[in-house]
Amino acid sequence: MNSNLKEPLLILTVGGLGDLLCAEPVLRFGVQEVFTESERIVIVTKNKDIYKHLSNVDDNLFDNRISFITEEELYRDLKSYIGYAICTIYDHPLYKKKGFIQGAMHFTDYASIYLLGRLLPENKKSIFIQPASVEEEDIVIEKFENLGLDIHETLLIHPGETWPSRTIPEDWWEEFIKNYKGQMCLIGENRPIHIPLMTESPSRIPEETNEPHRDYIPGVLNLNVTIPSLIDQLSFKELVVAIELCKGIITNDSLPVHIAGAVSNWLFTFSTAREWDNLKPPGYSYGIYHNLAISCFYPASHFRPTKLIGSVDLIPEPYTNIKEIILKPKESIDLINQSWN
Amino acid sequence: MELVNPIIIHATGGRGDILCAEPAIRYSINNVFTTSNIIVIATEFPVFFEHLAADTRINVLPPAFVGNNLDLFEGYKVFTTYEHPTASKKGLLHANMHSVDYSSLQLLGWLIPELERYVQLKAPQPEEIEIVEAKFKHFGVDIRNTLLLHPGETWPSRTIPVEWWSSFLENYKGSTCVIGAVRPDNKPLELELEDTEKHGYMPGLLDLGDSCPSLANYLNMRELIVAIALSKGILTNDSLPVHIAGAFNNWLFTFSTARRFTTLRPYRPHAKNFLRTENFATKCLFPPSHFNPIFTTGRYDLLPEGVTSILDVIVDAKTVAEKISKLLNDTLKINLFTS
Repeated sequence: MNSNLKEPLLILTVGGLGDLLCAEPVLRFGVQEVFTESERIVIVTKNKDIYKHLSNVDDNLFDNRISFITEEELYRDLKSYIGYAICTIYDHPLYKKKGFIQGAMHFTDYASIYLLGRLLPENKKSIFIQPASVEEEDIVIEKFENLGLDIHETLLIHPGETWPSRTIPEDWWEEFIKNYKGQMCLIGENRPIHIPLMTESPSRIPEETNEPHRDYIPGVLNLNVTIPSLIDQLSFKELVVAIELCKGIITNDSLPVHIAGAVSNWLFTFSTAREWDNLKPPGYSYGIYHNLAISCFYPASHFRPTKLIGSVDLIPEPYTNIKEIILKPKESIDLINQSWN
Repeated sequence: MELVNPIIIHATGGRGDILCAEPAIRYSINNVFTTSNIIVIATEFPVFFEHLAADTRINVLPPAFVGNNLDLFEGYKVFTTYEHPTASKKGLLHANMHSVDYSSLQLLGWLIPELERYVQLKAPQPEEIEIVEAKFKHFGVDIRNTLLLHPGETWPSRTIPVEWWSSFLENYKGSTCVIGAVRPDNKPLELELEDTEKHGYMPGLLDLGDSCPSLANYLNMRELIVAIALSKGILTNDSLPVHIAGAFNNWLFTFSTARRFTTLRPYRPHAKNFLRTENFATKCLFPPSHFNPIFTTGRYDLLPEGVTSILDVIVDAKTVAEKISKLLNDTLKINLFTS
């Protein structure tokens, strides 16, 4: 029953940007160690910046088997991909559901069992991001200098607006910024005007609950502060460079978390919607990744394998405010300063 | 809202796989299925789960009883720790994952926390220790000063030939004793299955002759567990003794030829580094590319092309004997020093 291993492969990558980044080690392991005989590998993705190094074996060699298309391009020309073997890193309409619970796992593990049917070896789970060139670094350094900031001494602040169960209120950030004594810079990306934070999709209501499915378009909070800001001023690559060169980052969203992990820089975050073990970057950089949440709304044991028991985007009863489960701003500042000292 | 009540968990697979389901079942009972007041564990090996029976919600039953009395379990939510006819396939590659992780994904759809992934077994009781010590003493063996040998006869890709074991015995100077179960005379090693695409084995034990004492077929499963717990260590090529040894953290010597060692080495709570294991395979016969999730890429029970003998991928017997002697002696010195 040995099939033709040379058959072309279509890898569908779906999910938020943080999820796509978490899947990078999985795609890399798959392309380099598993799908070694496939003559053509098409990666379907909304952000090829995350994966484009996979087609570059080293500075001189290119893996010519790999190409990238967007999901729109796939659907526009679906017939061209007849005969491709399909695999995914996440639930996808073109693929059978496997019954794994993403909210209760690290996304790298989830993507790994989805795509490869196995877990990656521990030492293969770290995310790789193509290092920046000197020119790329200079551009970012200059952007900070134009704001009067030394990037190496700057704490990046990313006050993400996302699900209620992981959005830290404006007043928390404002108090943090008021009391922090070092250089700071806001980063992030505003949601396009007229696009709401959340939309309900009644057609996708899970049968076993009466709850609508909610989709979010994340953005950044509009804080009443007067510190330098590079919100909407950094490309993905520049964001990576900024997180690599800065003194550290405080964020409540998963994309900056995993970028900080990939570049091994100081990270302060809030693991409120999932367990810290299922969010923190893999690897052994003890001491530089810190969780400012003192509890988690949705521990893994919340998830039953046979029954849908609600979404993880809202603040669950009996809690009324996310501030009940995170450190106070001054406590967070103390922790950050202690870490750096 | 009442959640998942009552439930039945089918713990199936090979004996090592069933033992490796213990952490996921234990964790689920204590942390996930907390509102279920009846939990049935259906398994061929209740001895692996008897320590969980202190929880009055738990019933451990033979699969045959469940199969013959299905009406008793109407309305139960069904869970499995291995692929099972009553559960949808999840597409996991068992041979390429740690069996504890595999069970967890099958049972819960997620991975239990790292510090919970160790196998737990009931500690040897005084009366059990007395019986097992007496059995070994009958053959002139002091179990507490003995390296147990388990020369398993199993898949070609993990069976170590008799000549290797004989050479080991010639070179190892300490006390040894063979344990395990011999396959019944009329049973072949490889089973004839109706589905010719599938392959099954009935593992047994190689015959090492009179070169060392043997308690083959003299120990029941519980006594085997107690013996491994009491011994100085065990040298085995099969997964069940590996995971029993892992539950007690005494010396484990094995050969990870058919799977990567990281997917065989027992998980330990809190201190992985304290686990006293040594893998005497120099390489795994099946690289990651052998397991392609899209296609069936061949058997892993046989020696792959290009390999003519498993001896090509394991350390020679003399070196292993010397290494084990040194490790056990060093441990003795450490124990004397710390006591």
